[in-house]
Amino acid sequence: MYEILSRKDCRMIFDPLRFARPEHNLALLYEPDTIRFEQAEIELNDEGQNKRLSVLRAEDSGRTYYNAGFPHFDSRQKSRAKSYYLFASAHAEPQFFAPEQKCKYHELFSEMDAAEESVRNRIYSHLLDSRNYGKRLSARIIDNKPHIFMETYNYDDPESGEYYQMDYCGGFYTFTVSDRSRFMEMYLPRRRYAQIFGGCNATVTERYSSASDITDAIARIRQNGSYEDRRMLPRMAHRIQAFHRMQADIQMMQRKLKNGKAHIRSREQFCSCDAGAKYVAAMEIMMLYHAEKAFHCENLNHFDWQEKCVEFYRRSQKRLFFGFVTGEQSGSAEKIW
Amino acid sequence: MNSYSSKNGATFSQEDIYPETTSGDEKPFSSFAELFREKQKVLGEAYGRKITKEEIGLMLGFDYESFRKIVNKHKEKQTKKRDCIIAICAVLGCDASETNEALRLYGFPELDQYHLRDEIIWDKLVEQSDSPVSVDEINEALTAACFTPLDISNHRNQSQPKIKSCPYKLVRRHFQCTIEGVGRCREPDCFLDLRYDVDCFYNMRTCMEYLGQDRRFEICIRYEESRKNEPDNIYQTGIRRRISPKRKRYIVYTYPTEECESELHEYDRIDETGEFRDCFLEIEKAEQKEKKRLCDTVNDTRNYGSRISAKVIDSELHIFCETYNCDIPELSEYFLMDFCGGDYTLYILNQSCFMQMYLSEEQYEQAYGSPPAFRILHLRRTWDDAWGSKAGKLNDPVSDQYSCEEEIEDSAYEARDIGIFETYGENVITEVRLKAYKAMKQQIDHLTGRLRTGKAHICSRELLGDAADSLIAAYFGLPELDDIAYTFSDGTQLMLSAENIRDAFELGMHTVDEAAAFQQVHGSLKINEILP
Repeated sequence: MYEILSRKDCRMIFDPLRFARPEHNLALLYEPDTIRFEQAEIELNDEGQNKRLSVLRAEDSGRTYYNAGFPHFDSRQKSRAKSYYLFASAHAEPQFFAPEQKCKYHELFSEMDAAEESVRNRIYSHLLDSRNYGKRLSARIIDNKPHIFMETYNYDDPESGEYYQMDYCGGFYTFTVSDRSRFMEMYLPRRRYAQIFGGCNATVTERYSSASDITDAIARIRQNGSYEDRRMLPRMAHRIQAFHRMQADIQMMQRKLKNGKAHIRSREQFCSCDAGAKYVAAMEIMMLYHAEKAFHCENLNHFDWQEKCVEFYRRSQKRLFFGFVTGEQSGSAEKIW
Repeated sequence: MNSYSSKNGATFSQEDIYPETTSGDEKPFSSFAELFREKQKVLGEAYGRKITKEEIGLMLGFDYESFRKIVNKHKEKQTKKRDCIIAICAVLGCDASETNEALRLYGFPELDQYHLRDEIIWDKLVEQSDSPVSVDEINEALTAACFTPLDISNHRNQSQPKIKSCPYKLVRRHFQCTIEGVGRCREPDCFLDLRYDVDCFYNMRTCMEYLGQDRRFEICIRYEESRKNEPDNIYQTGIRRRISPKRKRYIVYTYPTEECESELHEYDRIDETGEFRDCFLEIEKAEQKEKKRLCDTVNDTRNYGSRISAKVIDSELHIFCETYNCDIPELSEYFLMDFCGGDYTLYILNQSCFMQMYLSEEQYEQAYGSPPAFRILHLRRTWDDAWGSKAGKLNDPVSDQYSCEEEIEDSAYEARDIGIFETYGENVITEVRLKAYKAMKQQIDHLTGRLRTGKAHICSRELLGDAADSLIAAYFGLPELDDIAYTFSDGTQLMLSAENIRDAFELGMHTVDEAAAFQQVHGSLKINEILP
């Protein structure tokens, strides 16, 4: 039998890229896939030999900050289920165990899983609540339409427990009030949200399309409102202020997206501004969308691409970026936003 | 030198090395009851007052009689729940070895560190040895690790007091909570002392209607306050409510019928309400739950983004602000900066402590059920004399503290082990803290300037209008605002003028004792003379 010497908890890997230039990769700022974890480890003494037991997750294999949010980008990699591996020494090959495999360490597998799930849940729970962030602002293409959206908590009247959201799409603003944070429901595709966080359960209590809608609501309450409704009037005044603040923030983000100071995803995450290295960005983006065949370059290697792709990339950079996202064959950042 | 700055860097590691308990002085206990009594005594000494068995039982949800039987263990195993003994030990402040001894004395297996659930409980007890650990904290840790929470009660013999059902049929319930003075947040620094006062600005009203004996009854709890001829502003109202807290009345109204007139009965005490006593208990429970929700909202700066205030604490003027670390929310940390006597101190906290500075120790304990942990830091010299090294272990929420930017910059060169995050050599966390230090210092300087120039107030006599002097006199428990000859305990005398009392009010003081002590230390009660 073995003796447990020490335990190392599952820990989040702190990634400075998330903080470097947050507006350059809006799609990555709150993306759960960018959060990586260092797996739990158990050090044990098994019949006089020190060994280390840890977990290997297939979905973490090959995952980087850059491909976060995309399905497993390298289909050539053999997919592996989760396994547990045991290191006996630095020179020996690790021994792998499948989760269902019966072995003398089997009872430790569920312990490590529970510890990891607990850390993951705790970290993910922060993502779900905009109260932890002050305000959150992002942009995404939803149903082929560009949206810029924002959420903040009603910090002026926290007893209300209200969250304010604003969504800008097609020239129209929609301001909603809800009892829970709904930012991640807009930030992630619905299926991914359900997969990671379960069902949506926030209730939209009010919806306005302009500040004057709120003003009209206030006027109606003043005229015909009940005693309870009149008590809400100061809270309604907060909503008008919030509407204007959020509208200003969204307009600023819109300008930044138009003039390239902000991006949903920036190609600069793959490379520096060095022109010679831009082919790397083109190739990486190609692979993210599994588009090698469409561009007839399945068999090309990096060096063949160098000359061809730099020029192609320079000519078609904006079209290339928005052609895949919107489905249109042409489009520019200025036109989209 | 403050012991926190002697820590190696910003260590957030969950593994701390604790000194081994000394043996020799300890004698084995002969029974669980004996161990309980000893720990109860130690706990009482820690809090400076007697902690009764009943209080401890209530913390765990037991009525006195059941709890007494569990502790005294008249029969073989009065409780069949091992978790119950663990919970009792946690609340008493037993460490892991004392808990094991308690379990052994009660005939239960001891905590097994190789069993993960036991290990989680063990770690919680060791983490805060010699200080109470709440059942909620342990349950949170267990639930987070997907284990069942502590199972305390024998389900057959429910320990909670039974509420007898009312003989009448409930037909309507209406609960209303109104929050007054919402507008005070528009000018948050015009009356800092009332900004987060839960008692002053929350009104709750619950009505229940019953049918029975061919009559319809409406019961409610009403909070009465003295009426004024002219309407008060919210600040006058707030101060009046502090002077004369609302009086609680239990109202039973019987609707009229064709044969009978309506009846109205008002009671001061719940025990006088007869057959409606349990109904009123339910109302009180609902109101307590709502008040707790409101108090919990106020107790967490995350709900406000950032908060700032000023207060005289132990004859020193503090200006303090707190914010949640929104840049790295996964760290779940708060920044609290305190400015006092010309010194800025930035605390890194694992919980919001703003209200622990904002309220007095008694007010905080009344609102939140336990004494403030953070306040202990301000009493550090006194407590250290009494408790030695144990003072720092009394539920201390501070993970780190800095007194200047250089200290933060220097801490970047020390390795950080940040708990659930892997060791990280670069300086993002340092940068975030540096940014917080500068921003909060600026906020405090801004408020200091506004306090000095009279644009911001801890308490504003101007906002009390013509009634200012009478309200201030009543606030200090004085018949009128006049000169006072104050005598200290050592026999020295001090003259306090009416203007001194007004200035003391503006500093947020509540008693003449506070005003005299402050005047003696600083020689002035005028805020623009005190502020550096």
